[in-house]
Amino acid sequence: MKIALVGNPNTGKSSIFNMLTGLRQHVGNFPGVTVDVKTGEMRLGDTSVSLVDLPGTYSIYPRSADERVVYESLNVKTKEDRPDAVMVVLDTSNLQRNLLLASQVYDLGLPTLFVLNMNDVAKRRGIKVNEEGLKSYFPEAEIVSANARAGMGKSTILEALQDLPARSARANEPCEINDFPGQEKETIRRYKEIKKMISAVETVVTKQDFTSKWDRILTHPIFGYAIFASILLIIFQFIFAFANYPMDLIDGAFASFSSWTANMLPAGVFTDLLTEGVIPGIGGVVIFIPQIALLFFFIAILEETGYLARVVFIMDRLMRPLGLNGKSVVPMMSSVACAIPGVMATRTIADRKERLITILIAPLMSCSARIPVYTLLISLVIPETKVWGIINAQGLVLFGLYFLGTAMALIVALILKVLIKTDEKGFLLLELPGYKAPRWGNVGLIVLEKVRVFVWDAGRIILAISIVLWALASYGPSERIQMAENQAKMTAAREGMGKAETDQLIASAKLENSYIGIMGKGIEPAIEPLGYDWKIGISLITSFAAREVFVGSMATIYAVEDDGEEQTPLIEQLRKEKRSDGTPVYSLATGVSLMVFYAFAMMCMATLAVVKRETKSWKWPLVQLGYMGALAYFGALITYQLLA
Amino acid sequence: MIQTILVIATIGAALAYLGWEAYKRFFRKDASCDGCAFNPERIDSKS
Amino acid sequence: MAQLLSEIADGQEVRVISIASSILRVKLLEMGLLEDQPIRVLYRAPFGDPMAINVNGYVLSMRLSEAKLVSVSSNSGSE
Repeated sequence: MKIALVGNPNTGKSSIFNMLTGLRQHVGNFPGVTVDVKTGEMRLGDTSVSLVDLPGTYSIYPRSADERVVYESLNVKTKEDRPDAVMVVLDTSNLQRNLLLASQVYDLGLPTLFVLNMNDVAKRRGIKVNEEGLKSYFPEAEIVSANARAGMGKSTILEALQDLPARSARANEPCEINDFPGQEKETIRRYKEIKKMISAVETVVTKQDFTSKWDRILTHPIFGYAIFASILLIIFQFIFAFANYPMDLIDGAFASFSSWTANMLPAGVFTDLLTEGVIPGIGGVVIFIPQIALLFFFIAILEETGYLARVVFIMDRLMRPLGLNGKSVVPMMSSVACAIPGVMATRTIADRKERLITILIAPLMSCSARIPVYTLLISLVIPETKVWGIINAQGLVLFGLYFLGTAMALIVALILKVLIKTDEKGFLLLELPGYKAPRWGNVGLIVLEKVRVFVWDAGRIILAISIVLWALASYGPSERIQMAENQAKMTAAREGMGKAETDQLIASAKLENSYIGIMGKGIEPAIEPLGYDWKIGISLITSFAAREVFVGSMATIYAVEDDGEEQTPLIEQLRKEKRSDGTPVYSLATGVSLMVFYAFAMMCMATLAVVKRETKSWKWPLVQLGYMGALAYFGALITYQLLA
Repeated sequence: MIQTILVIATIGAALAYLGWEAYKRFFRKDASCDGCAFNPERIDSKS
Repeated sequence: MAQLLSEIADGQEVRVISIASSILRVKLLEMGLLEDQPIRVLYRAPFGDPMAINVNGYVLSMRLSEAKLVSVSSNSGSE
């Protein structure tokens, strides 16, 4: 049995969902509608029921991309595609507006349960609703009240769901999705009836003032922005400073697990694959968990308390000249963790052009996959000195890279605003919900879900790429490899090298002639002006699938080459790298040029796939790949030529 | 010998998986979306 | 006297007269801006745009360009 959960935004719908299903939820991805919808399992007597949490909406007629799924899944013609029942969550303290959706859903003719939620808020506002009276207007529906934030109402809801009355035929067909005049007439008619109902069933004892003191401060011209900036700084601090400890632990654990495996298993190619390809590949995914979890922990709290809506409110005027919407702030913040949830978060932006621009610039925000790249390169080429005696130079460069990405995102938005033509006018129309203390259960579930999607979705692909990469670095055309090996042996013998040195030379020659080495050599002429050699070229090629592969692939390349007994840390290995003229490969100019390249380049297949799905066209992911590639190449070129 | 077979199998699996993902994400035709929310066969479950 | 919602000062209470025809009209209706609905302008964001209004017990924010679509009459005038 399948039950749909619908309701206005900010009615505590997700609290109800979490209360009923707990941890038994998973995210499904709906083909065509590009909306991720949560499904949860629950028991109803002897039957198991799937509860599907549809996006919050004010009307069954969609006004933005994410709302479409509500209309489409409740109003299908084929019976087997329809849910068996609908549960409508209503905010008791704001019944008039909530009853619009409820009455629309009721008229669809599915067995219906109304849940009057947030009855505590209603009580505080002195609002009393007569359930019996309300039921007389919706005779075939069940009506119960609940307070999901306090965990109250679960058994009542389950009981009511168990014996939902069957429905007679549909009262009247809903309008078509594009029939605005019809929808207008319907809305006016419904509100007329609703006003009558309200005056019959609702009694308001006290009237209260809605200008909240908090809003005065949080939307203040100075304090408002200062508070938002401080919150961003705190989040930033947590992600960079504090996430490092668990990340170091994870890193160390995987390194020792890798050498433990090498010792336990018999020597051979498969053991090599495990210790050089598979285990570092998994480690490369797991290491991001602390940062992703922390970022979404904060975003979830901001959302739960109602603060995020105020951010949208104060940022809208600033974002508009750039062709963006106040709502673009949320996808841009999410993109600091990962552009994929960022791109998906644009669905709440109703205007097509504003949404498209947000999607196109989101991957310029520095995501957590760039952090290991930045960290490695910064500690490689930036000295650990203090600027003006207090500021850590390495930290400053990291901050500079984030600033560079954000600034470029805004500049590109401005350019796109001029280039993309549209007749539509953007709109905001956003409810500012009342402030609430966050529900830790809801926050925890959001974090859990984001981490699970990242580890499971991105993780599988990164792992597969690591394996293929290892293979490409370990094998090559056999004749060529053989020749290179012989030549290296001859050189070693002529120069009278020791065993270790000879092995090193052979490994290096083999890598140079492996499949990936040949590719790296192939693009070397194109990347030489940026200050890169063919080994960096290899990392660039592999990073085009997913940039988080960079550090792993550097490790693979230099470990494959090293082939030595003792494992020198990667960074020492990189410092030792010399060009043919004896200068270090990783000079300041090359290092910074690489950082700029990674800040701008669109190196994430998973994001491109999501952009293709969200924009329903090949054009936009290709535009994105092209413009970001050009930015990366020329940005790095200018950087290198200036610094070298 | 066993190790070589295992390596070939793993690489093959990785390649096949990447190909499948690329096909699924970039090329596969999306099903019509009418009511896909409630027809399990049309839900591409993620977990 | 009819005025546009965008011109109403913070703290003022007014009634909706009508909504200019546009694609946003049905959305504004759905959000509860019905004919004769009393609303109160609460506050504005920095730079005076967007603005927040109280519609029948909840706070709705809108850009001035959206508020321009709503013509309102001051409460005292209409009663």
